Amino acid sequence: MNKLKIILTILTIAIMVVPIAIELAIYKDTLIGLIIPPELTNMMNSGGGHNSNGNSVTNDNYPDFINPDFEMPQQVGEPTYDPATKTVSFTFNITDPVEKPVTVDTFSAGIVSHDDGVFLGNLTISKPITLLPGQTADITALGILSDDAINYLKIHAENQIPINIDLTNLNVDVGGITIQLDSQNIGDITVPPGIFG
Amino acid sequence: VIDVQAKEINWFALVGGTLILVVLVISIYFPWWQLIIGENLATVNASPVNTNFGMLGVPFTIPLIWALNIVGTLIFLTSGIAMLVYSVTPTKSYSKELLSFSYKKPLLAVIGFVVSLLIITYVAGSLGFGVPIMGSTSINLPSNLIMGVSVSASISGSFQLAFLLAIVAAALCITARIYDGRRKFGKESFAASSESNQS
Repeated sequence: MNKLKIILTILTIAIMVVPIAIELAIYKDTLIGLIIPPELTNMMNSGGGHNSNGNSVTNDNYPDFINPDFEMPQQVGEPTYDPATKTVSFTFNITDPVEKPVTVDTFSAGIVSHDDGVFLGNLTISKPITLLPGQTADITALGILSDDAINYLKIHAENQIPINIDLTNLNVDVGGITIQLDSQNIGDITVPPGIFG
Repeated sequence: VIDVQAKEINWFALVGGTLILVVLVISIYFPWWQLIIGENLATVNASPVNTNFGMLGVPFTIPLIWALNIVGTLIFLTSGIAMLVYSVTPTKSYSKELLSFSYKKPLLAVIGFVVSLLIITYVAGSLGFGVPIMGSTSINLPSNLIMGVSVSASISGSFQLAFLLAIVAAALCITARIYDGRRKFGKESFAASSESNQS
């Protein structure tokens, strides 16, 4: 075996072994770190964010991949009602929750009174919405109301009784990922007394 | 000083060796294989030289894979250089060793890469996450994993141009080895027939 062959054989072995040996030495105390990088661990851990008042939150509310400027969606103004189309519209201000552009292609859900089980209508967005990192956008959701729903809402509006709302058959298509939920309670809403004229 | 004569050059090796180094540089920036989940919400960019992941805009690498990428980088670098040196000095005494050292490595890298992909996708499939090596499909995350929420995502995998270039480089290196063997065999046959004619 000549010298060059020996040198090339040693070189091949060194190339195969040395980088892996160095990594093993670096991670000798935490071998799991060889497979699960710190970025992924941090992503799954909780981090910071802002609450709806704009105050910094450093508790367990948000994982690290959530944009630190993220705020929970906030209703903008009061719902409006168009009697001609029996359509009620809600506008929410929402921040891109992650550090990249996200497109909400579809959003649809049924609206049901949690306490009485009255079906109030369907909620959709009229067009896809693109959220850019760190930016906020207004999302207007439209709900077409049935006659029963209008009567139900009128009674609650006149008496200023909050309605506890469930969203049912929730379908959201965000950035090519479809999220489906049988039912999600979104809490109380108060119907403005003058909304139905 | 290397005395290079055009008729002595193994052109397959010269082009193959150059292409190995081109593939090395390209692979730093462009993956051999790419997996995209949703609309770029999660990505996997894989090659023996540079493999990285992205999730919701956050890029990351896996240290073990990073070490293997260093191995891949050094293999491509050394075999490319060795193939180039061999290509212009195929008649030197050390040329055989250089060729033996370099000609198989690109092919082994390509095969190793494809086999790794097959194993990973098989393991993912057996865990219930069908990952397409080529083409698109939809994966559903079990709803019991995420508090009753059903999540499905489009997922597409595809080989990229750098992978095809690596196959061409590997093929050229193998061709260079075959050409070298035939040329030496031809010279030996010619020498043997000359000797028999003289006797």
